[in-house]
Amino acid sequence: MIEISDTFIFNTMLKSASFLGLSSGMLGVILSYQRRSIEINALAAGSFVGILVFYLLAGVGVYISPYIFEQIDKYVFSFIGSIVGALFMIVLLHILYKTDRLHMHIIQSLMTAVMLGVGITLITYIRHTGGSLDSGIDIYLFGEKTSLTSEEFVFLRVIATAIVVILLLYFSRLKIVVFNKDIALTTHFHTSFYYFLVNIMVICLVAFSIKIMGVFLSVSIFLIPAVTARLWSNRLFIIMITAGLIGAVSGALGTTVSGLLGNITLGISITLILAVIFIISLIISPYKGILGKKLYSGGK
Amino acid sequence: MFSMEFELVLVITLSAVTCSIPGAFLVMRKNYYAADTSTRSAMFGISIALIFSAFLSSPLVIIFGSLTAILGMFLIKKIKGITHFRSKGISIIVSSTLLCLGILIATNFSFNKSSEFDLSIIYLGETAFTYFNRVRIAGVDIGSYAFYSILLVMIINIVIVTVFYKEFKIDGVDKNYAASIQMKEETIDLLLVVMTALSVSVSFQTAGIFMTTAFILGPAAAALFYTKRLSTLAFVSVFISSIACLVGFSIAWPNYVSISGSIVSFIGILFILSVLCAPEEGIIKKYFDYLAEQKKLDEYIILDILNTQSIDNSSSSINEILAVSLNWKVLRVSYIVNKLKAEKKLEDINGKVIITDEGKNIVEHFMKTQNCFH
Amino acid sequence: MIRTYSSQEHIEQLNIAVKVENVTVEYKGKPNLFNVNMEVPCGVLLAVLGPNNSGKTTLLKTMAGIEKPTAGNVYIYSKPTHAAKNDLAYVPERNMVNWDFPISLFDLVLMGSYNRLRRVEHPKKKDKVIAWEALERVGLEKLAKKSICDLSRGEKHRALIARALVQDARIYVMDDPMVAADEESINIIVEVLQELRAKKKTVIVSHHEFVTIPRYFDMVALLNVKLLGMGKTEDILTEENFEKTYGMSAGMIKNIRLYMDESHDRNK
Repeated sequence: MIEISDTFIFNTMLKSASFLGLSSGMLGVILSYQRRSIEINALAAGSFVGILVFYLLAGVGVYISPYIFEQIDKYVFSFIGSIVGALFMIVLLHILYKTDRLHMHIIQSLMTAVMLGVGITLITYIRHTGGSLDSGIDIYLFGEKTSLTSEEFVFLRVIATAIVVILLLYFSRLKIVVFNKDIALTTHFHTSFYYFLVNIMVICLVAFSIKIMGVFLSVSIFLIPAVTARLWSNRLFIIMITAGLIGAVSGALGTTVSGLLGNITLGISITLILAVIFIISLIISPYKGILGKKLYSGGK
Repeated sequence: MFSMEFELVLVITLSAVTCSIPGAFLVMRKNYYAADTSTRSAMFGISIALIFSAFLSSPLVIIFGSLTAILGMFLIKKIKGITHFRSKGISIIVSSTLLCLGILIATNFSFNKSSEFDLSIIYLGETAFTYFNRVRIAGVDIGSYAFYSILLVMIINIVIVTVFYKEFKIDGVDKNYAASIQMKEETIDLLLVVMTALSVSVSFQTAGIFMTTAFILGPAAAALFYTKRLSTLAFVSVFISSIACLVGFSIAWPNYVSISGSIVSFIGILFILSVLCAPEEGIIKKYFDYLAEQKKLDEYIILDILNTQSIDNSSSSINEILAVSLNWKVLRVSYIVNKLKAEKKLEDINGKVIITDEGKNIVEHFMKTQNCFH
Repeated sequence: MIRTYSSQEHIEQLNIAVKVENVTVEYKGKPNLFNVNMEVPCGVLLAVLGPNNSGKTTLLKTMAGIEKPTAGNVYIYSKPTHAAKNDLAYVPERNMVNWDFPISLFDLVLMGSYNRLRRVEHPKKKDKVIAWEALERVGLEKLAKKSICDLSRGEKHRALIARALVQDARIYVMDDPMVAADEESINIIVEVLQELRAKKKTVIVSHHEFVTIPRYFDMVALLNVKLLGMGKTEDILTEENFEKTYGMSAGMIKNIRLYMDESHDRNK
């Protein structure tokens, strides 16, 4: 146990998972009240495809001009790819939302599955043409312990801190924009600016979270803390702080569990920890919990 | 019996069609989270069943998979009853928890460690593997196991749909009427969930548990842009899914890429294309309709102003006056005014622009159609 | 450019609070409002009446600058809507607000003070005092710490109106502030409306129940996609106008007339 916690990789992942948990938990509260938490699934799948497409493009680039493209680290490509993929996905989804025949959740879950299909096709194509991905497909699907380089870790730390600071600074205005668009407009806010801000933050975080959590489970670190925190309080500010703390704690615990047991990927262990926290809160939380309600009313 | 290609196409088409039958009703009922939830929570049951058998199309897998999918939907309802949160958020929690547990069990306990299967076959699917489990009766090879299990589920689905078609239709069209004749919404919900769960737990071996979502929702969602009737919706979605299977397979097989992946990609392309360019409901068609309607509306606005309001209508300054009062560009106003003059709805008399009788008739007719009580 | 049709001096002379000029708003090619012209003088209580889907909400939203008109202009005190910051407070329809949102009633009311604050500023003590006064005005000070999802329907209406009061504007635009509210809430809301009129504020209200109009409002506008009539309450509430707007029988109008006379007698 002590041996594990001393290693460099373990320390890095512990810190990065808690940073990711903190910022995405806080952002998830905003997203869940905008009713677009499922969009994360589709964005993650989109950035998964983006990584693969940029991998292929890098291969083409090396073929065209080896001198320039061999200088660039492949992690740069995968990072740019994940951001571009998420960006593409958000644009595509907003085009598709314009139709009034379908509920937007159907579009989101369908596009998630479709993007995954595209990704699988690309992976089998890359394997067949002899290219080697840096490791197995499980990394992309369920997260990996050693997937971040140290540069990416620094970058993640900066972005996560920046998101937390922005959310706290703009908290009161974001609250109104999320609460009611009409009120925000008559109070003369630039509502589109805040929507844009939230979108940018989501894209940045999704690009990191698919490396740590994997494509399918990246939604859980955004959504589950928000829902769990809602069980504990009725005030948006407290919910946001609680969600951030829950995210950070479960990120740290998840990394520890995954480091101790060895054969669990990071995404799975973090999600399971989050689920355990949710179930505990469901039982003992004072407002809506099963036991908590009885204790609360019994105390009165 | 048949060539390998033919059997594979048959199996994957059957599984896509099986999935698209409950999908057609799911899309209509806005019970959208059922597809996602049942696919993900079926993973739990499938991996438990695989502890006892290393055989993907065994009946144990189907039973356990559908049971956990139903369990997932049940849990969502229970938690929703306690917390009153939206069911979509809860569905994500429940389904990802069950998914994680399933993967945990599958990586550590399933397959008895003697099997040669890669684990990713459960969540990504591999159609070609279904060929190797053969059914033999008295030593005669009569087809793959997967074929028969999928056929069975498909027959069950079709029987459920034909028996309960009236209920599905009433429920999809008019909720209040359904409640007034004391039809329970829960029964329809349960039936749909059972159908979805059965289809998922049988077709995960061809497409993997994640991509079955696309098999369920995709064809129905695309078909929704071509028809409005429930019965035709089911047929069109079956048609779309079989077309997608044929095209996807014929692209994937010679290029050695994942069959289910390319089928799902093709379904996605079909879906996006039908959202954008469907002949009646597509976004592009709607947009051009809207532009045409807006042009007409612009004409009506100017005709109505000239008809009812007394403004300075000397032909030298009318464009500017209208442009200011309508907050439009002068160019746009003068274009419309000239067009109306050419169509003899406006005319120029002694340097004044006056509405003609034809124009008056048109705008009065338009006003009558706008007020809903006249 | 020749500006004879909408000269700004003209508006100020007549003391017009809101001027709506040839406004057309369309949704997917169908007009929600068609060539609406209206001038709301300062210091009146105006009720906008009309059946469902007649464009009441759209008209109010266009006045508040939430929806951009396809054609036409809206002037708030002779300024275009986007320049009329702080001049107008908007009360949204109750159903359009997400009442599951986790904030307290006091937070909701305090939201009215945000248009006075800069981008990252938080509300100060002065704003909190104003918000508390507004809460007391609508009689909800005991519920201040409660979560907004626990309020009753009438209390929700009152809370939204308190938020608008904090904004301290010259024009109040309210979308259906009395629909399905209890008697007590309606009384308080009407009191607030009268007080606003006494302070020379302009209040524009869309209204469902046409039976109670004469008691509350000075002016009435009848709307059914097009503006069918606007003026003093007694002048507008004629059988002919009602048939035009609602397409209903003359018998109901007689009842309304009776009710009007009764309320007149009561007032005397």
